[in-house]
Amino acid sequence: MGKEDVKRLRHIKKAPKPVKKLGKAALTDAPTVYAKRGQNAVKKEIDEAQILKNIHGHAGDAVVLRAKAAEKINPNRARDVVTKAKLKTHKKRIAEGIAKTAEAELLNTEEAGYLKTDDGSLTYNVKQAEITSSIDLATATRSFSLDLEHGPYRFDYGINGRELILGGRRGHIGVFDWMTKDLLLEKDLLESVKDVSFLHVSTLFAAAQRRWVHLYDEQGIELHCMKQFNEPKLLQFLPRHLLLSVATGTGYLHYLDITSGKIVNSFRMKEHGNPGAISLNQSNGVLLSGGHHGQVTMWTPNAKEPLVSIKAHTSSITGLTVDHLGNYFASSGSDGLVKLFDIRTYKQLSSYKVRGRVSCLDLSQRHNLALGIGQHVQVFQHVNRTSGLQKPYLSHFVGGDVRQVQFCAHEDVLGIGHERGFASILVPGSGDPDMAGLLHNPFESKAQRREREVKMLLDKIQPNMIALDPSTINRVRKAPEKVIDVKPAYEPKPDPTWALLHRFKRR
Amino acid sequence: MSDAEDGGVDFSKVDWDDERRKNLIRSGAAPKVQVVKDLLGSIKSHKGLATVKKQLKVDTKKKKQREQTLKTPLHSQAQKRLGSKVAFKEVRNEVSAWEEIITENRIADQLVYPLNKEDRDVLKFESAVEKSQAFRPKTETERKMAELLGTSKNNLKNDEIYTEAEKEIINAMSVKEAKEKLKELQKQRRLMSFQQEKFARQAKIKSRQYHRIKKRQARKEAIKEFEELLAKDPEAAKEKLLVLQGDRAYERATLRHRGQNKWSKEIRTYASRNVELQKEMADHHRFGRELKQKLGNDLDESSSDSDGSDEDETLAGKKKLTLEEVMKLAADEAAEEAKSKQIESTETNPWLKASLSKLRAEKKAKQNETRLTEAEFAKRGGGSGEIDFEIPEDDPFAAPLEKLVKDAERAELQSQIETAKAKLLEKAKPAPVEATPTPKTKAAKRKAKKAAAEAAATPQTPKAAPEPEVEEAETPVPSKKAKKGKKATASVETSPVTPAADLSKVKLRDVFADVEKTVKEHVTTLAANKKAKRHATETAAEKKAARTAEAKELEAKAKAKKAAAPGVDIDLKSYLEASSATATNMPDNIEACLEEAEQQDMETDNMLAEAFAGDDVFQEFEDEKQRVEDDENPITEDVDVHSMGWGSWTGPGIAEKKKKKTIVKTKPHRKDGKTAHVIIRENVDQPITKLQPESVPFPYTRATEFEAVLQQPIGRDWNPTTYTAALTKPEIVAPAGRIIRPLSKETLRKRQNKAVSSDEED
Repeated sequence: MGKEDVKRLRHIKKAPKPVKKLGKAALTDAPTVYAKRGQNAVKKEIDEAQILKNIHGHAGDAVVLRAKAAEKINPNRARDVVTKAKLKTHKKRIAEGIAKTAEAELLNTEEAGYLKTDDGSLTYNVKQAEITSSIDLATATRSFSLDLEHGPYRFDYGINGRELILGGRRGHIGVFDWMTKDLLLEKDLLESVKDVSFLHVSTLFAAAQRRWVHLYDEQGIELHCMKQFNEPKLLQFLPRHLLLSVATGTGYLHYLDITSGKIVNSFRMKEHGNPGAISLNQSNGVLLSGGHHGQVTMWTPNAKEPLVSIKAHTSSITGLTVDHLGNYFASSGSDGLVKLFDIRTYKQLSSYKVRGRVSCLDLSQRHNLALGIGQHVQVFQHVNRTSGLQKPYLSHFVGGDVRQVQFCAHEDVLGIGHERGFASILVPGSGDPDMAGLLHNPFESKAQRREREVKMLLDKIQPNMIALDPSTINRVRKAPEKVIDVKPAYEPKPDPTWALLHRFKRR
Repeated sequence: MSDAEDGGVDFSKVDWDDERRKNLIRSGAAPKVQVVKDLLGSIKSHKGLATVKKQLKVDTKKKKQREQTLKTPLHSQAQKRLGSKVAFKEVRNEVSAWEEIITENRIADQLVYPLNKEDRDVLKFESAVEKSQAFRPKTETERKMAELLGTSKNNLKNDEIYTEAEKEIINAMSVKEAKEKLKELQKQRRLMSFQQEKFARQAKIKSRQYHRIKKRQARKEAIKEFEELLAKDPEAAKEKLLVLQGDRAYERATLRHRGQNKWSKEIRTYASRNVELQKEMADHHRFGRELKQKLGNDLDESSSDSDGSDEDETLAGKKKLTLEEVMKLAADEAAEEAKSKQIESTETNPWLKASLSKLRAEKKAKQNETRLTEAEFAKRGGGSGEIDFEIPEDDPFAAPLEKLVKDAERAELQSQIETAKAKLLEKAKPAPVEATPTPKTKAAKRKAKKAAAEAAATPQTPKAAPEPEVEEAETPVPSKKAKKGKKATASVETSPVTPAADLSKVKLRDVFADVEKTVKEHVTTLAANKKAKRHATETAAEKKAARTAEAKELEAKAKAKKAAAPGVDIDLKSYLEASSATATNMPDNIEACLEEAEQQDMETDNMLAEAFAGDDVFQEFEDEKQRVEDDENPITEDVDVHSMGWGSWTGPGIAEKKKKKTIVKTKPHRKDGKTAHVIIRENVDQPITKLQPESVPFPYTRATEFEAVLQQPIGRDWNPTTYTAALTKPEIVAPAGRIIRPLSKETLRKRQNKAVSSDEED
């Protein structure tokens, strides 16, 4: 680094306190909800409609959505006195709860980090070394790289974001705590490893090996060998459903229930064939796969046909990722385009021509998009807000062909598995700073892990509840709309030979 | 009235009908009392009876009117209906009284059973107060006790803080005194708690250092104590020594500190590199094992009789005199000396101090002696045969021996290491001359190598890189090469002149020649490619024309289709190929940064593009979409089944009938109707629908409310914990073992009374 570089050294600061959505001004605006206890008994009696209305301006998206849903409850339209009264009290209780939840947002004091240069130069010039030199030591240790020989590597972060598993194609497997760099397990599997994935706890993991899928425990002892899953290629674990999905090189998709060891469903993905990438929509448990023909298809273990197929690219898809809320997905194709789609409407939001071949991509919790291009990784910021990808936020050179990129949840860290090992880089402002402590607990003790394991088992969502819109389960069943096929007055008798042909035509 | 004035009977007030009824009732066994006859008999004069007559006449008339024939009774059904109506009214009144309670209970947030208080109190535990109040002394002793207790001043009553006796004391004591006393008490309590805390904290300490120091302290104290005891009471000292020895022997025999001392730690670290040390360690382990085997059986017995084992005596006669032995000897001597003396301590007899110091001096001298012998022992080289190796480093009993052995070994090790180093240095000396080129020349070399590799690769694979647009590809390639060449030369110029650099210069010249060559070749091959491509495009154009003709037909078909389906207005191809942002938006240095990657991937991309060039990807997708649509709704549209001549007369002279309107069947609305690039399968089996409720459950009356309520999350993931608790509160709480009685009228009456009383209050 030259002298000039030192002069214009960039700073990575903690953000100045942004105005919280529920500021003090907001509190005074909504006296009904936030009135001090015991100050005025009459004030408490203000109706819930007012409370719900007040929420709209001040709280986070999720709470506002809840408030909107709660507004739909109309006790006066109930046909029964008891129902009316019950609904009234219930609505009031719900309104109070929403207000409390909105209040509790004040406790989320953590703020997202960001990268800012002093001289206003563009951020993608900033090197990792510069970032690490201007932040605290503890965070700086999260930027590291491992030079390993058995690459290219695929990897997976555990649910609590603490453990990391690496799987090199040439059979090397390593599990370690990436924050402290404590090695928990290292093993040579003596055959090629296509993919690795943690199961619900980081003491169990699955490896897609040359012929079959194997399950191992923390000591590297093989627990199961799933011989039904021939030629596995990609693994994806569904944590809420406790299902392990395996996409094979033969074009099959298998779902394994890891609680009972039963195969829930396995089918061939027909014309979609051998997927280049699969990704899980965490909001509903639907699996997305990107195939040869540039189609992104959505699968559930309940049907052998795809629910939805979207023509995203003109050529084969190389990378696919869904954001953690299940609102967007991004895909890259060998046609050199990176596209962002809205899952709710299936509409293409933006498309971007990239120089070089994008081998993989990932969306972070705060909608940063990381692209693995050759030996480089590029990160784009807030891809859902801006119109397309304009200029990269960060750029990083790893020195080996990138095979997988993945953001670590609730951390400003991007993991990169490549030809010559693994790299972990800092991407300020990529992770959601507010931790949901019930599931993502990086400080989880052994007892807590066991507790969580039991809780996850109890809270398991059955595979038959996977659907595009999981809230359908809350709706009262409607009789299916019948299309009345009016028979024509006269029906010509079909020629028998043609009828046979017609029957076969469908297949 | 006049009759009344006359003292006669006033008949006006007689209810005749009533009388008659009475008579009727009395008829039967009762004697007949003819009231009217009697009354009439008492009339003596006719004077003034006109009014009575009139009255009577009126009455009879009325009677006549009344005594008509009875009306026909109601039809039995109507009668029943009336009856039921009345009964219903009554029952309704009775039941509606409960209505209020029932609705209240239904609306209530939470019902805790049993609902009435009396039932709740049934299972209540009797409190001590209640029990004591209920107690009545019965037996003689009880009565006496009660008497005694009753008169005692030390009875503490519930409503008072002090007993009478205490009150007396308080009255007698001044405030100042009381305060002091209180302070003292508080202080004591505080001290106690401090001490407690301290002990608790100390008990929790896990630090090794702490325990080591503590142990050392204890040991020192034990020695000191022992010495004092020696002066005071030699017999007791001997016993004490036995105990101490026993403890120590047990500790050693159990081999608790194996491998924890400094020596074994150090030897372990060096053993991997030194064969001799390895041997020594093996010996050491063997000894340990033997010892353990030997002592294994009688570990539990007192192993203080180490003299019994004669095997070791030959090995180390002098060596065995460790500090224990020294102490033992001293104790014996002292015991002999002070056999006749009385038990005295240093405090009582200052002369004893002299003897104590003498003792210490003696001990020291003996220790020195042993140390010397140990040194000799070490010189002999019998260190490996040492048995007592598991002694912790800070052990005062055996430290010197250990130290000496270790020092000797360390010296040996050091010398070994040094010789090894020297050898290494000698070996390494000639190497750096060859193996340290300047970094810049190295970089240049690397570049040159790369260029050479490329030069080698390009002529072999002329087909490998057919650029899509030759005009574009032609210019940048040589320029890139030139840039690289420039860079290389620059580096050579700046690098200091060294023999190595000269060497690289020579090589570089060759490399430049190679690069020139390859560039030329590349250009020629590109030109050839261009030609070939032009030819190919010409032939392809013909093919394309044919294909486009087909495609046009297909398009026309598709358009027709689209016209039929109104919503679809997006061209899939244009939709897919459009990109909102292009590479032109990219900053320059990013391009430079990506140059390499691009170069690598261009080939594969182009290959893929060629491979898929023939496929009509869009048509395929559209076809599939059509197929799915047809599969899901197999309704054929607008089939005209009326063929000519059927269903109508025909022939000369018959006017043609108006054609019947064909039945227009519209296909149902599809979710993906308006999007060309999406196929949504609607008939896919969704088992989640089977889990949906079939009807709106009680108490909801409309689906919208039910759904809106269900949509509100109640879990801890979405709510503050307190609120989750409020939401998941059980509606009915019925503890086990409680009787839940049906509602009684009593409760109703009570409620009514309450309501009335509260009204009155208002």
